[in-house]
Parts: sequence; C-alpha cells; structure tokens
Amino acid sequence: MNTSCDALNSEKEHKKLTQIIKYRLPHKFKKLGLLGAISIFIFLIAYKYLGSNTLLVKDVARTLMLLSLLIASLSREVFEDEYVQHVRNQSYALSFFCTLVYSISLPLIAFVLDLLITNVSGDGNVNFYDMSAFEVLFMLVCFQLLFLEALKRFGRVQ
Amino acid sequence: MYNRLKVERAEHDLTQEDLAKKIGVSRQTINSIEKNRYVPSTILALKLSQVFAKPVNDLFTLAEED
Repeated sequence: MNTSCDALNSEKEHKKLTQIIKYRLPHKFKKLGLLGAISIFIFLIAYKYLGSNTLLVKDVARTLMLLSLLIASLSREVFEDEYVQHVRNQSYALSFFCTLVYSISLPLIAFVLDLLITNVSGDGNVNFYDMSAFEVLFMLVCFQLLFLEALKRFGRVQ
Repeated sequence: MYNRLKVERAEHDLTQEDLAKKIGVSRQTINSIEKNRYVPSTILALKLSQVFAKPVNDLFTLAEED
C-alpha cells in the first residue's frame, strides 16, 4: 500500500517538475524582454553619466533588467520543437559552466593585477575583487541567450 | 549514430522542408539529424519510419562509439 502511494506521489512530483521545466512564455515576450533589458541598460549608463548615484534607483533598475532578461530566456521560439528544446538545455548547461569559470577567474585575475600594480605603486593595500550577485546572474542569462542563438545557427548551416 | 535520412528523402523526392512539415518539426531539425549533430527522440524516429514506411533499424544504425 505504502509502496504504491510512494510511486503515485513520485509520479505526481515528476509530472509537476516536467511541467515547470517545459513552461514557456509566448514568443512575443522574447522581443519584449530584450527591448526592456536594452532600454534599462541605456538608462543605467545615462544615469551614471548624469552624475546621479542613488543606490535604490540603481538596484531597482538592475532587478528590472534581470527580470526582462529572464522573460526573454523563458520565451518560446517561433517554432519550438524537440531540437530547440535540446539546444535550449545545452545552452543552460554551457552558460552555467561559463559563468562558473568567469566568476572564479575574474576575481583571481583582478587580484593578481592588483597585486602587481600595488607592488609597483607601493601603496601596500591589495584588494580582492568582490563580485556582486547581479553580475553573476547577468552573465548567466546573457551567456544562455547567446549560446541559444549560436547553437540554433549551427542547425541552420547546410 | 548514423542515418540514411538524406538517401531516403532523395528516394521519396522530398525536400527537408517537406519532410519537416510531414512530421511537425522545423527544417533545422531535419538538417541537424542528417548532419549527425542531433539524435532524434524515439517519437521522432517512429514518425520518420512511418513516413518512409521502413523500420527504424533501417533508417538509423549504431556507430562503434555508441
């Protein structure tokens, strides 16, 4: 009795997880998400050069930019078949790996450079580059979108 | 895995686009299968075998490294 109940529960959980994994927004959200992210990016650059530096505005804009990129990432393609799903899975795996390498290597490179520069200038303070969560998440979604486009292009090459 | 998709398609006088439409996928998918860049699912393999009226084993063969 217990075994059949467990099997039923695990079947339900598997079904729910599959539904979550396969969930996609309509294709029009892709353009919407990308447009939103680009607009916010331009706004953030303009905001920096205008001399304003309110942390709250920056944080809200960054969060909105991540949300826009997430919407673009979750949107379906014009023709969504099993090959696109396969390529999408590959893009998620590749972006995870690249972000990990980026997150580990960049602070190390910055540290070594800082160490060299500090030794030359001789001010004595070596700083370790602290990566923000925004930076990591931004790279993750950007890598995913770029890899998806690149892998899709390979499929078109005759 | 190797496949005879291109040969079968030529024998049946079908373009990649025609075959894609018949089994409800994109031309990109057919192209990737033909180039051995993508191994189709069992569902897609069965659909292809239906179109060409041949068993799946005649369309796809295992490579040594599989």
